[in-house]
Amino acid sequence: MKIDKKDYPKMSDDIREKIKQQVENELSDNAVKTRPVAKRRFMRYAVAALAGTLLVGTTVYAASKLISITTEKKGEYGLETKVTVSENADNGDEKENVDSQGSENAAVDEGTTEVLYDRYELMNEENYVHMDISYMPEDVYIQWTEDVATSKLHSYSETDRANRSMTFYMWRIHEGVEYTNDDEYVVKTEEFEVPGGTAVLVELDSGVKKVYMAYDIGYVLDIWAQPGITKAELINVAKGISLEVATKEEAEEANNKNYMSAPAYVSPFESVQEGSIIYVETEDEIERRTTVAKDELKVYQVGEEFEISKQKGNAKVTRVEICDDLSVVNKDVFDFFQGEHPDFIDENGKLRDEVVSYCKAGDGVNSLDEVVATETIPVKLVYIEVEYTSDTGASEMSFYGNLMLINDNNDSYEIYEGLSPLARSTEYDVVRTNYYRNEPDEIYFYNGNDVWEKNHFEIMQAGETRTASFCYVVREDWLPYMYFDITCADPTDYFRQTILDIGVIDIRQ
Amino acid sequence: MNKEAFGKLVIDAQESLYRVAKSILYSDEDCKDAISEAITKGFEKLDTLKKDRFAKTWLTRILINECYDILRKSKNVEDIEAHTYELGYEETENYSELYDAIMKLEADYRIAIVLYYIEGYRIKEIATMVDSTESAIKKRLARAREKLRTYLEGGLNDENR
Repeated sequence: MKIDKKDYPKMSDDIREKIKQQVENELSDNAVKTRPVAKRRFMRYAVAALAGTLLVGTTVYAASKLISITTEKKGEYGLETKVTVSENADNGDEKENVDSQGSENAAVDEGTTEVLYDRYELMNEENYVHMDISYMPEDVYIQWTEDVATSKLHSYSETDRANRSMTFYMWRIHEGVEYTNDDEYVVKTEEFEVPGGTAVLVELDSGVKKVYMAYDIGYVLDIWAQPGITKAELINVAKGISLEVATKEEAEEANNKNYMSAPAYVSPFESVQEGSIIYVETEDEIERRTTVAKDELKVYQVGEEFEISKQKGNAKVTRVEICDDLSVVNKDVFDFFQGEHPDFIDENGKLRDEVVSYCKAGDGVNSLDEVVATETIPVKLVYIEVEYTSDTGASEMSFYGNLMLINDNNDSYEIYEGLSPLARSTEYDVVRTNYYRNEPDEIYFYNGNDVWEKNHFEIMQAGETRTASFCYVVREDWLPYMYFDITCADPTDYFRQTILDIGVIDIRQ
Repeated sequence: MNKEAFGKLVIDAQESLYRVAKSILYSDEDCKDAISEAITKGFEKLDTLKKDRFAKTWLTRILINECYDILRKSKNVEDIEAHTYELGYEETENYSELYDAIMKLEADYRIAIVLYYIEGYRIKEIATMVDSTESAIKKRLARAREKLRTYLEGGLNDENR
């Protein structure tokens, strides 16, 4: 498999000419400006700063390869990690630890020859390794970037996934290709040896921990651990990993048991980003109406039937319940919920509160984030049942639900932004939380038959009525603003035309 | 960055912009509209660009937003699944097998593959362009590669894919 620009369709002369004309028009200052006012959005581009102050390095001599992992501190809290591999000209099994920039570079240069590599060829490689992990805490949820059988490795669903998970990334590093990773908000680093390689532990201000492991067989294993995993646990996991090169045949014969494929690391082109934090402002073209007059939006009550469309027939909301737990749903749905969202529920089966900290942002290199306010926000489960009736019958019908937050002003409806009073009164840049919701969190759609069929009625006979149920997790302070839109499953922060055409159901509590 | 420099950047980047648009949208007409709108907005908002060297990344991000907006607008009332951003792409004999395979991927995978492997952006840059995280982009790339390999080895019409 080779991915190349030449495989892509060529731009037509028509488009090229259009671009040329448009640029000329803009430069001649005759462009017609007809932009409607739209919502502004700010995106933060956080990029690494320069100014290295310290370089430490560890070099491992292997039988045929020389692999080097180095970390370079950038400012107070930035860290660049690099791994390079080169042929070992002098050979030898000795190991050498080097702590200065000059000697580290000399060690790498000794066996390095300039290699012109084909990045597309590297991407097409199939690399396999056999991995054993002798230690893994039993409640840790593991994510892999490549398929791997987990017969010996744990992957528990009943765990605090947000807090007790690890993500593994594996790369094959080739001679002449430099693996680099930039971290910010780094508060501590530590180097240690692992079987067959060397490792660097990086602790971030957020509590997230990373380990970069460079193996002398030419691989980098990169583990990200969530804050609930301790440093000692992570180091023990790392030290308990053994890695061996394998063939595709071995992996297939063993039915993938503890084998994984590792993509070749492909060095991207030179970065265009350096400097400090910048803000880029973008505008959306389409008009997004966040306020409409009362007579523009039809509002139905619970139990009131209305037409969605000729094809889909009529609908009415028949039941709305607000709960602290999942007792309202049946066992299939409960099992599905627990499997998909184990971190939403505490040990007593109750929904977890959100604990939110509002911070003034640091730049991650010379300063850290500073917490300026904290609050605990109770959350609720919103359970909604909708009856659908089709006069004509329908097949392959999908139903939708979108829980909207709307403020009922005297003469208009306005999208409610959902910020808590504390958030509204606090100046902050960054939010830290165990689980942050800025909109109702859709949990599932259930067609009354099979929760895995989600929002789907395979067939509805003429005159038949079917009931679908929906669940959302919301902040408690949103309950007085809830309206239910059944035209779309996509959360929205403005009044789509379809919402105005069909209407919403008032389910405020 | 002044307008002249930005105009030159647009001309230099036009093939890249087209490939990015063509990764999200199928129709050349839609691609043309998206690129045109992105260029217009780029010139309009040029004074908000703080660093010249971010210009191409910034313009590409605007273009991606435009492409998604076109996808959203193209959905009718009865088929509102804008959140999936899917195309209903059908193979033709006009394009390479690899392009056909890429267009069979979900939109998130398509754009990650194109920005990383074809346009050469860094994972961090892609994450900012598509409003995601670096770890999510890494995962998408790994999975997209696997899917592409399956598509290409099994044939695009393989029902098991």
